[in-house]
Amino acid sequence: MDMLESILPTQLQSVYRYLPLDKIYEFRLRAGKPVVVCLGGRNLFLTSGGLTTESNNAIMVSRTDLDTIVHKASNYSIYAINDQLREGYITIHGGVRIGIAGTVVTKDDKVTTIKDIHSLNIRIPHEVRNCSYPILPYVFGDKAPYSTLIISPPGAGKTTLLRDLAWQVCDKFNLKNVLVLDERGEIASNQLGENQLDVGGTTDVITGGTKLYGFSNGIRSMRPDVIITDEVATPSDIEMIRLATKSGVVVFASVHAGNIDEIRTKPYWSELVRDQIFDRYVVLTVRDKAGDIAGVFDKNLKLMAL
Amino acid sequence: MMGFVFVIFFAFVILGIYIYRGYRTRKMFFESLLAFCNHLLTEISFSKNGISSIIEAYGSSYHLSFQKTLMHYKHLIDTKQDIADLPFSVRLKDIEKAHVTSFFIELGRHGSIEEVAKIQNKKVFFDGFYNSSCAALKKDASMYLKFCIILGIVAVVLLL
Repeated sequence: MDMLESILPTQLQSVYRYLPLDKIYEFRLRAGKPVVVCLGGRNLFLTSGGLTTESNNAIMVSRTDLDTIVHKASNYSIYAINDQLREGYITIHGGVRIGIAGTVVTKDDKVTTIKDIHSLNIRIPHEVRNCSYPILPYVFGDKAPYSTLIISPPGAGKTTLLRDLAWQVCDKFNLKNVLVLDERGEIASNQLGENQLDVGGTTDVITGGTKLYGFSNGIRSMRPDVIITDEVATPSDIEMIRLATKSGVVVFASVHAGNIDEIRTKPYWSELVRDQIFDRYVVLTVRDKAGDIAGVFDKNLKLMAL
Repeated sequence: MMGFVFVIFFAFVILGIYIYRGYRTRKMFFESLLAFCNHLLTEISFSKNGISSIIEAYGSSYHLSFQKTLMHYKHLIDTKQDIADLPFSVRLKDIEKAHVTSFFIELGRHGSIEEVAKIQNKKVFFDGFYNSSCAALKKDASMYLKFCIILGIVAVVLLL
């Protein structure tokens, strides 16, 4: 029984083992509502007989079930993972991320925890070796990779792509030091000092901590040639990328956005584009399946490939 | 005949000791439970280690009667099973059983501040149970032991 299976309620456990897990991206669990499974970008209801488009006979979960899942996911010690919980997610063994929606408890304008949990989004990570192949000719130079920003809507496969890029950098550029800043533990899923997902042989991983911490301490202490990080969001994250690239480090990062125009016009990002901090922009889409590439752009946002 | 009389006498004494030990084990159980609560309070407040690793670190320092319950609980959480009934190797009243079981069911369900408050709240009950077990040990257990010894002596006198 794997970690995810062991934390699920019994009625889900009995069907879980028969599901095509390699094609499943998400389980959506809502209190008193049918369980929805995202299979290859398509949402389906989960019944005891399998996946279907009909909500009749779909498996339902209760508030107690959701509480129990979170309790078990925390190894029966929610206080130990409260820092993650405050951010709205828990990462468990194997890089599985459980997004949590409930009532946010605040004290002195700071989030202290989340209670009355009523929705969970269980995201299954996938290790898709060579999924970055189509973009490698554009993002890898002769001697070093180019700093690249992966632009993607949620669930389009940017973490999977970044994970494969980390592996490809190690494979193609022998002995380059790669540093993965894995704030949410999704890229390498490091558990007790061991990466659960393969991010290459010359990769160091900093799990948890902010990007500010990762960039400033990681560059000083690990002397990376390439830094790979997921879901850049805050102005300080963007500033750290600017500083890293100015100091000669190649950065692979990802950002939530629907298309290249959003980056052109978003505050802070537009300045990065203007200052040509990134050499390449790769736009992902969920047109047919997660990981589909909508376009590769150069540092002037000129389309290089579709 | 003398041998038989001594057997009867020792049987009463052993019964007295057995009853006495039952009371003593109850006291030790609650003493260990309180010690476990104190370890939890320290660990949750400062190091934020998980329940399982706290039990691993301190488990062997508790009285055997409490260790049995604790190790069963650890097995359940390590194998991600639901916590419902816990085995008790000590005779507990229904209210005591209910409080101890609900303590383990609720353990680790909250953020550190709330968790500490919940444990402190439970500790008040456990303190009460501990105090009553101490009083029972001092009063009832000693009385039963003396009573059994006297019964043994009476039996010897009657038989002789």
